[in-house]
Amino acid sequence: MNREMKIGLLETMLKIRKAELQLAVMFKNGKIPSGAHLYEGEEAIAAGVCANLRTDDQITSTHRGHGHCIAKGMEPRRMMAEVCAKSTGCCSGKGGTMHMFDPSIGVMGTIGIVGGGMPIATGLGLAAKLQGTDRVAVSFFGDGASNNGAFHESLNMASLWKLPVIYVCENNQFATSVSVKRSTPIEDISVRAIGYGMSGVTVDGNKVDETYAAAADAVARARRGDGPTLIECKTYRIRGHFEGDDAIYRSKEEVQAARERDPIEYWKNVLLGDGTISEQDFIDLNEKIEQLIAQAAQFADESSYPTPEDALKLCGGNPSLLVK
Amino acid sequence: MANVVVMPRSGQTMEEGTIVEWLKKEGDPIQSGEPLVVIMSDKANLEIESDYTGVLKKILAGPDDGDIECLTPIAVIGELDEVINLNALLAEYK
Repeated sequence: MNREMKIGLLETMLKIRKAELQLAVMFKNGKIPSGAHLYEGEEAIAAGVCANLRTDDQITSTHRGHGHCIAKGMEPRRMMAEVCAKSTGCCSGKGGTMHMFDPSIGVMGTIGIVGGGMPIATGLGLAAKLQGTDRVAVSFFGDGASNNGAFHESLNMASLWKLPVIYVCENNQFATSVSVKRSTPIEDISVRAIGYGMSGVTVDGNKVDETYAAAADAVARARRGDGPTLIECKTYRIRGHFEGDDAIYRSKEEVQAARERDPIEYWKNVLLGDGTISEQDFIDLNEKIEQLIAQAAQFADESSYPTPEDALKLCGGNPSLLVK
Repeated sequence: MANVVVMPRSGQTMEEGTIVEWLKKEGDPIQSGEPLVVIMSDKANLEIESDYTGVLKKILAGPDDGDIECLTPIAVIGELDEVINLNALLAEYK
């Protein structure tokens, strides 16, 4: 990884973190008409995986999908405006947090249905293969979704047909309120890959160098036609399942311990340690992103809601209708 | 700069909440992220953290006020020596 890429990962993680914390405040203040599931503490997964992707590569995301959109190249202001249901959002405010799409950059949906993105990503992989391209598809999903039938069917089909798909399990320890220890009888979800004759690996999802390296391997395998990979990224969901979830099903000590494994602090210290950046570089970068997100929030806040005339825009699958 | 704390909308279905307990009193310094107030929503008691750093200048509602509509101002956080025109500040919340 060269210097620019290392700093790029830090920048992506900072963008995601600050956008999420800003959205948390906006939620409390009634600016977000839907629920909100935030990605704080899991940034190293979206950042590390998507840094390996080209614009034409495609992803499916989840209800906790703001970070994936940013990492795949969506401008924070278009993401935040969409979450606030404003006409300047990526789906002109009609999708909201759990229906964010932008096919022009390969964001094929922050899909609210648990496990819902996996069959879609499998189909995207099949399309890439049939079209004779070396495009790949990535599906992000959680530990809860790995117990869903769609997970098993998708892995089986993708491995059988050697589809260029990377299944990225964000094991954040909780499916809503249920600990993974109470839902899943194995320690590493990645071992399930063995049952489908495909590659599987578990990495520390709070270390962006690990998520980056695992995804680099998987993307290379997919591009050369050697089939899918299951990557399990172990992390921790710092916030409640949704904003307003007081998460009484776990101890404050457990959350505090997880906070101390902060992925941004980790990567910042790596880059300070190897001389990639100085303390001042970090302060400057942090300030730059702070301003970017503050401006994005203001843009979202000041934008207008869609009008009745907008109702049929983006419907019917005609790409010419996509809002730019 | 003075910031208005509102009865938070802490959940998609929450329309009003009650104040169970203020964890800070007027004049106390507060950091962003520090617990400020306990509220009761339609589902549970929630400890609400401050989004602002400064001094808790004014508490506008308490446990005796019963159900308070979401987004109603409940407190003001500002700087130590800041003089705040409450009427002007709260005008947009009518």
